[in-house]
Order: sequence, then structure tokens, then C-alpha cells
Amino acid sequence: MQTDDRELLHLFRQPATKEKAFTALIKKYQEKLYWHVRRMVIDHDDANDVLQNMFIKVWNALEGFREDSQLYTWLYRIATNESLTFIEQQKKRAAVSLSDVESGLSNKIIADKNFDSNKLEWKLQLAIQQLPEKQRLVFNLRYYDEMPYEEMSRILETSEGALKASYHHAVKKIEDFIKNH
Amino acid sequence: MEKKKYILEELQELNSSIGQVANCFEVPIGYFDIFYEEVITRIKEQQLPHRSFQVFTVPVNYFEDLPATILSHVTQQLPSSALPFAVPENYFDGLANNILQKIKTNTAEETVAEELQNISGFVANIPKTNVFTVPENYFNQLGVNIPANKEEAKVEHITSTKRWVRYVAAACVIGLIALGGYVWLSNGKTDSSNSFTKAASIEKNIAKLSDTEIYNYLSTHPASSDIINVSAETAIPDINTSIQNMSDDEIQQYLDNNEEPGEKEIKGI
Repeated sequence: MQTDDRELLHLFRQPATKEKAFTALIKKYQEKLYWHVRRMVIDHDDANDVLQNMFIKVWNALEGFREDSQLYTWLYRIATNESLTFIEQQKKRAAVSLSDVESGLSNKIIADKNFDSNKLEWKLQLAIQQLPEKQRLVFNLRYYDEMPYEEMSRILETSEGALKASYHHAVKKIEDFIKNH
Repeated sequence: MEKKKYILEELQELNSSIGQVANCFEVPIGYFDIFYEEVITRIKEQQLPHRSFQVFTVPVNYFEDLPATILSHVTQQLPSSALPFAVPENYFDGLANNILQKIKTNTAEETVAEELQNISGFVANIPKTNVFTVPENYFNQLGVNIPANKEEAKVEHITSTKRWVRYVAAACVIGLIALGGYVWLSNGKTDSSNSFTKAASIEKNIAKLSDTEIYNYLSTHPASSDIINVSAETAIPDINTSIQNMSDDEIQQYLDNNEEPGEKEIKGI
């Protein structure tokens, strides 16, 4: 664990400095976690909701956080679970199948005011939405966050070998999608 | 010679003629000149252990060079397929370093970019720009509404009367659920066991019938009529409809006749 995180946790456990420490924690990790969530749920408002709920859960659970794991790994795991729960809730609410939710996410991308179907970076976003949830997570964590497989393994509780295979499949699917669309 | 002379003189003094007899034996000319050489040669021959090998000779350093000579012959006789391989010059001098370099390269963590390039050069060449935008100053004002401390829950003191009412109501609900469950389970068991037995016997009987008999039966007994009959037999009367058809007096009378124990006390409260 980083020394700063230790210090933040120490301050969080003191009633006098609890809120100050928590504010510092949010500021430290908000952007990384926001983009992780945003890439999963696409819409800013949805990402904001998920992020806020996630940090509220962190507030409630941080006291019991075991320092034998890294704080940011733990935060990533909560953000991931919260994102997946949100997507699951959307599925239930709309009473649609998984493919419908994926096309819904694709529609959100297409609806973006800056969307340009001729640009590869936008096509890439559409291609990512075609992936199964787990592959999408792995691709985002590796491609955008450049996260080592070892850390990813702790967050997603999956073996490094399986993650490498998952990333490999994801990249191949993305390549196929972009070439055929 | 002095002794010979002495001996001859002695024989003459004895008047013996022996001394005048000439030596009748002869030796080959020069015999004694070479005799000692022959004797010495024979003595030497007897001292050598293997007289029979003595006749053979070997070239100088023959035995010292023999292993190398044999190996040379063996090598020349090996199959020619073992020989066409060749290694680059100084190959073995740099081999250890090359292997170590390779080990270091393999153990080094492959970067994300290298990995992606290896999987798909196409995807690796896509510009890695963030296409999403966030509202201005979003991160500066991002805050979380921290839940307020939980207020101490109000403790409502209930009177002994209220407590009795609740206990009795709870007991009634539990009793009704238990009774309903018992009735449902017992009916279900009976029905299911009966239906299994019936189904088994029907299947057996049907198996005995010919296709023509089954066809004739079905043509004269439409399936819908069976369903109607079964439905009529097993239909459960609609309670709501029955209650709607009853007058208030009839309901009151039913309740009076089927009073639960302790109900009067509750009414009295």
C-alpha cells in the first residue's frame, strides 16, 4: 500500500479528520475511477450516479478495510461491481436481453454530440460495446488504464492467464468489428 | 702352456710314447674365433622371455601413436550424415551471453503497447484519444453527500393491552398459514400419488391397444370433452364469488359458528 493511502486511512479513522481524509481520497482517485465507470456505462449522468454511490459505499466500509490489500485495488473492485450492478439494474428495468442493453450503450455513443462515425476512435468505442461484459472490463483496464495483469487479477478475481486470453479475444473481436463496419 | 710342457716332459721321463702321439681331432678353421660369439648369442636368447616374438619388429613409437591412429580410422568410418552440420564461427564463445540476454528479455514485462502490437497491429494503430467529455469543472466540484449520522431510533413503549392484541393476531396468522399449508400439502400428496398411479396404469393400458383402436377412440372422443369433464370435476369454487353471493347475515352466522378460541376475548378488548 502507498504511504499516502496509509496516512489517509489513519486520518479517516480519527473523527476529527475523517471528512477531510475522505475528501482527499475522493480527489486522489475520482478521475481514474470516473473514467473506469464511464467506459462501462457510457453516459456521464449514469457514471456520476455510479461514482457517487460507489464512494458512499466506500465511506461506510472504509473503517473495516484491511490494509493487506491495496486501497486503489479495493476501490476499483467496488467501482467495477457498482458499474455491473447498474448495468444489471438497467437490464431488469427495461426487461430487455443483454444484446438490447449493448445496443442501448451503442446508441448512447451514437447519440453523443461529438460522435463521428468516420473516426476510428469512435468506431473503437462501438466495437468495445459489442464485447461481453467481462471482456469489455478487461479490455478497458488494459488498454486505457494500462493495468498490469497481476493487479487486474486481484480486482476481477480471475487468473492472469484467463485475463490475457480474454484481452486477446477482445482485441481480435474489436479488429474484426471495425474492419467489417 | 706351461702345464702342457710340464706334462709332456713328465711323460718323456716315464718313457711313455703317449706324449709323442699327435692330436687326431680337428676343429673347423676359425672355430674358436667365433665360438664365444655363438655362445653369448645363445645365452642372450635364453634370457629373453618371449623368444617367439623376437623375430617381429614394430615401427618406432608404434604403440604410443596407436590410439590416435585407431580413432582416426573410426572417425573416418562414421556415417557421413553426422558431418554436414556446421556452426557459425565463434558460436560457442557467445552462446552463454546470448542465452542470458534472451532470458532477461523474456522475463521483462511486456508493455501494453508491445502486447497490443503483437495481438493486432491494426488496433494498436487506432488513436488512443478520449472521445468522451465531462461537464466543465466536474472533477473540481465532485462531492459525495456523506450520510448523516444515524439518529437514535425512537423507542415506542406499547401497553400490555396492545401487546396482547398483537400476540393474538400473530398467533391467528401463523395458525391460518400452518392450517392452509397442511391442507395443501396433504391434498397435493394424495393427488400426486394418485395421479402417478393413474398415469402409470393408463400408459400400460394404452400400450396394449393397437394403433387402429387408439385412432377410433380419439375420433369418437374428442380431447376437448375430456378436458371439460376433468375441469368440471376438479374445478375449485371461487371463494370471492361465493362470498359476494352471501348476505351479511349469512357471513355473520358462519363466523359465529366457526369462532376461533379466544376470539371473544379479543372482541371484548
